[in-house]
Amino acid sequence: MNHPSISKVQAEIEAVFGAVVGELGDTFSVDDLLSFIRQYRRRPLYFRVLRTPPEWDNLEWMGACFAAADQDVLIVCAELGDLLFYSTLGHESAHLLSNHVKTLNSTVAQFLRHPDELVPHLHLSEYDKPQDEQEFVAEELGILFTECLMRHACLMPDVPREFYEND
Amino acid sequence: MSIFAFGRLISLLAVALTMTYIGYRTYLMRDDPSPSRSIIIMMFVGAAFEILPCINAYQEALELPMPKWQNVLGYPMFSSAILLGYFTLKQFLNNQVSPLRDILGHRIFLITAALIGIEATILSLRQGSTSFTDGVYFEPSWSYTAACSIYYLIFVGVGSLIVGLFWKDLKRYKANLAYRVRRLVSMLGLIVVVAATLLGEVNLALSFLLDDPKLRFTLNWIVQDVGKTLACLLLLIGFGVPQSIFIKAVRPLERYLEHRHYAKLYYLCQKISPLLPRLSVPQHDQNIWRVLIRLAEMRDYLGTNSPYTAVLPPRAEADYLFGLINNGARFDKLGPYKPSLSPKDYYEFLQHNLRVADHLKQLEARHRPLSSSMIEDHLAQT
Repeated sequence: MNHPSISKVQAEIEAVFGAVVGELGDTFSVDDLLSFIRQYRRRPLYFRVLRTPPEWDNLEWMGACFAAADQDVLIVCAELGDLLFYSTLGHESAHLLSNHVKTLNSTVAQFLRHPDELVPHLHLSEYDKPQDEQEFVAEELGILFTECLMRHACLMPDVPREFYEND
Repeated sequence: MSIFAFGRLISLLAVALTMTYIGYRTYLMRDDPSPSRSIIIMMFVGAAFEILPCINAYQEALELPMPKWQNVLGYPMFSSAILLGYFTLKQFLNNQVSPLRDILGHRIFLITAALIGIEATILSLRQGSTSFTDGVYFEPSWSYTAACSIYYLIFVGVGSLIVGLFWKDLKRYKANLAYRVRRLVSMLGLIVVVAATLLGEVNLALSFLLDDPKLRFTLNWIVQDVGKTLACLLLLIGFGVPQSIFIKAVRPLERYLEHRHYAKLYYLCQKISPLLPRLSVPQHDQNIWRVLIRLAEMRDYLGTNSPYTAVLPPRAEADYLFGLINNGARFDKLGPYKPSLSPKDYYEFLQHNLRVADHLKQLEARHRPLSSSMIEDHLAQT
């Protein structure tokens, strides 16, 4: 990270996380988070768990997000374990919620027809450590979201939950 | 009040409290259209079926007279409670509502219901009242033996099936510690039920073979008073304690485990990090999620450079990592392989890493080079 202003970054993280937790609480599902992103950004969201397209074979990616002309897009690589799936989803959600994505001219359908053209516009989740402020924010928010998503994934099944937690 | 009456009063109170709690839950769900409501109602009925047998046992300990109908109904009702309990818990734990038709047509239901029917018929045909719970009373007649034997057999058989349900469920949902402890307590309660009733069956056989009233009294006391009271208390804790209390009770253990897990996982991160120059050790801030995520990334990265096609057992993986570390291996780009070093499930992933860390520590300790002071100590000793 290139010496970001700590207080500014911290404030951004707190603002976004506060907005999510204020609406969804500290335990939420993937669907809850995606619905919140739609509502927060006031745009439709295209979410897909995707096998690596052949055109991306040399690309190091676990997830990606961008704002197409018609809707936001969040894709997560298939074949990730639970933890990487949630952390990647959290990381990419953080980019969308922090408005780190620029709106592009092409639609989702156009991009999906030519995945290679998409690469320069993507916010990719890679293995490297964060290199700039935006990545740092997404990384930190991604960890916070992972905790909330995992907490939901580890909840009791529905029937016992309704019985024990329905006050 | 005698110690027997006191134990039986405790059982009665535990059952009454469980029934009240489940009744309260049923009331809260009165407007809930979800299908799980029917499971909760079944659970309430099951708990209600236990009240009369507990009252009977308590009255018996106080040597109070009991009408015949109360005596005849008590034991079959208790047997019905465990049968109802099996189907309720099966649905409850499997998170799946079964239609009543399926339950009534189930083999276990039909067999147990037939046995309960035989038990009730024998008891109603007998002259006077019958007791399986009184420590001194024993009658070497076929009707007494058959009814008592069936009564215990139902508890042993259906109870074992319920323990099996809990065991399967414990293996399935591992990550939620509070829920895990709750089910363990409930399962322990049922194990006590099965063990106690099995002892009751043995006691019946011994009464025939030895007819030693002292031995019969002692065994009966273990079965009816110690076993039943303990089981009722455990089941009360398992089913009747609100989840918020359970979570609070388990929190210190959870914190302790998290602290220990963090230390092990961070150690593993530190060990793997030199192999992967692009992935640094995360910030040391006690955030277990940060370490877990980085470890998952490291394993995926390393996995693309490892030719293994399946997750290695922890010991083998520790050996593999130890070899790489000692050989000074470095992987600065993704390899050609499909990563398969990590279990996909979160809980399995956590446990796997903890075991690998343990084995790696052992390997390090075994192969640690001797320091000069250790060599001096060794020489002095020899």
